[in-house]
Amino acid sequence: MTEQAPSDGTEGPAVVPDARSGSLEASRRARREADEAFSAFYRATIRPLVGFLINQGASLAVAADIAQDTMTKAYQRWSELRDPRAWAHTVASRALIRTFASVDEDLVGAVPEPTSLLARPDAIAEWEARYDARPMLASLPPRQRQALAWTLAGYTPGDIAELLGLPVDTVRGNLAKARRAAAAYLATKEGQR
Amino acid sequence: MTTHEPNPEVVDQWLDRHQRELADGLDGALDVEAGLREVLLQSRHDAAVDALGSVLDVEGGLAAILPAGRSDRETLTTPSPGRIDPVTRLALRAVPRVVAAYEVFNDTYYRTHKLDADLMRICVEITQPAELPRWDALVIVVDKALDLTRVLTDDLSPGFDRSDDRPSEFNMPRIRAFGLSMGLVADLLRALGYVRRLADIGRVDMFVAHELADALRRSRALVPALVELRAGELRYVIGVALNTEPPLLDSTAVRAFLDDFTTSDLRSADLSGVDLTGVRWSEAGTRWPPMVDIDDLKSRSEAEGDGIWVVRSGTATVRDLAELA
Repeated sequence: MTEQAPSDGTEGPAVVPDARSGSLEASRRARREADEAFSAFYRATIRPLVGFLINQGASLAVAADIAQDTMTKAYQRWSELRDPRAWAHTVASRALIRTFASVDEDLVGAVPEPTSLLARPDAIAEWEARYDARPMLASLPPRQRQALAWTLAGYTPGDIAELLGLPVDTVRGNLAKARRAAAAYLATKEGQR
Repeated sequence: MTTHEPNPEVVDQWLDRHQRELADGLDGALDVEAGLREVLLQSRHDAAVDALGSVLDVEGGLAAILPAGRSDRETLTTPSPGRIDPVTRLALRAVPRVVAAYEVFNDTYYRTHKLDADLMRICVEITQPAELPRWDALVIVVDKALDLTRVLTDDLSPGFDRSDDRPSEFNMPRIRAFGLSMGLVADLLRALGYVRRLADIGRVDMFVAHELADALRRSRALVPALVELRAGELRYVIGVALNTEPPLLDSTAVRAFLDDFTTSDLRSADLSGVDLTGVRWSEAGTRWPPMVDIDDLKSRSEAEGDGIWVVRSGTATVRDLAELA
């Protein structure tokens, strides 16, 4: 065995400090700042996000539920999101499509439960009846309705194409058809008066 | 009756009006502040977890594990805090509870990394399918990931019969890991259904695929949560064995604490019965008791380079080596 110079008998890996105890105040400050930024985002985005989902065919209860769930996910990933608004719209839109796909498994006519965001689901029927664009939106094929909803949310055809992974010409085509359907709907309404 | 279509400006105005009415209506229907409070509940929970750190006596815990008589104890924020006697560290490898907890920690460490790699593979393959995708092979990957998740988290269930005496401070990380594991199992079950349908009918649905991938990426939080939980449990049994507060070691340092003897003087150690599996040692820096045959120890070790060796699994205790000397 090789002999070596004596050591001080205290070698070994350093004891690593617990980062949380060492920087608790910094952690609190960072969380507070993140919470403030998220809160501003939430307040500015939750209503338009619910409206965006309604425009895509969701009931108010479903839209509020998906939007809230999306916001919870956004909070969990807050530090990773480069464009939270676009992310939230994309995730919520996908969640809505999944809801449509699984609608057969749901109880038909089930009464929505109150939630934090939507405390009075009993007011929904009256609320939904007040919006005269709903019948037109409901009559559109899904892709046209989707293109129109994204446009009403402030996105350009280029943005929509990128976010949905569709050719921009397809988005423009669907949007043009949706506008024509809206024009025809308006003309019919005017004619009925 | 004939109708004529309004011009595009009129349509746009009508749609804009619809949007405004929608926004106004939502103002009355939604309780935005209540919704926000609900989301931020998570923040309060996380802050509470962080605050646990403030009730620990960090200096006291550190002082209790530093060798007696040292006068240069430093604060936790300095880069060179106290060190632990390597003879004591090596002796811990003969304590059954420490050995058992270290096996669980190591097993968790390697299995969670395998699980993490599988989750990433699933995410990539469902969102960026190959030209000729092998969905049947991916079904197997998802299935195995499900099994692995269950194996890794079996004992986290609230109903699991635990006979040990671990303190309640493990309740919160255990419950958190259990919750995350439930989420991952649910996500993997959905992924399994989706991939099985792909294997059967081959129709890709990118909306579902991206949503699933998002969910699986989020659920990867289970990996660090499990590793930290097992590291915490290992720290605890080390503390019990040393009859002191658990040492303040993170999941990387706790491995080095039990494995790294590359610069250690072990000449005075009682090494009988110590399991050397995984011990890192060096020809130049480690000083073994005289009865240890270095050449034999080398034959039971893997060379790591730069004169560093790692004792292979199941090869030797120091007693074996001593008997050969």
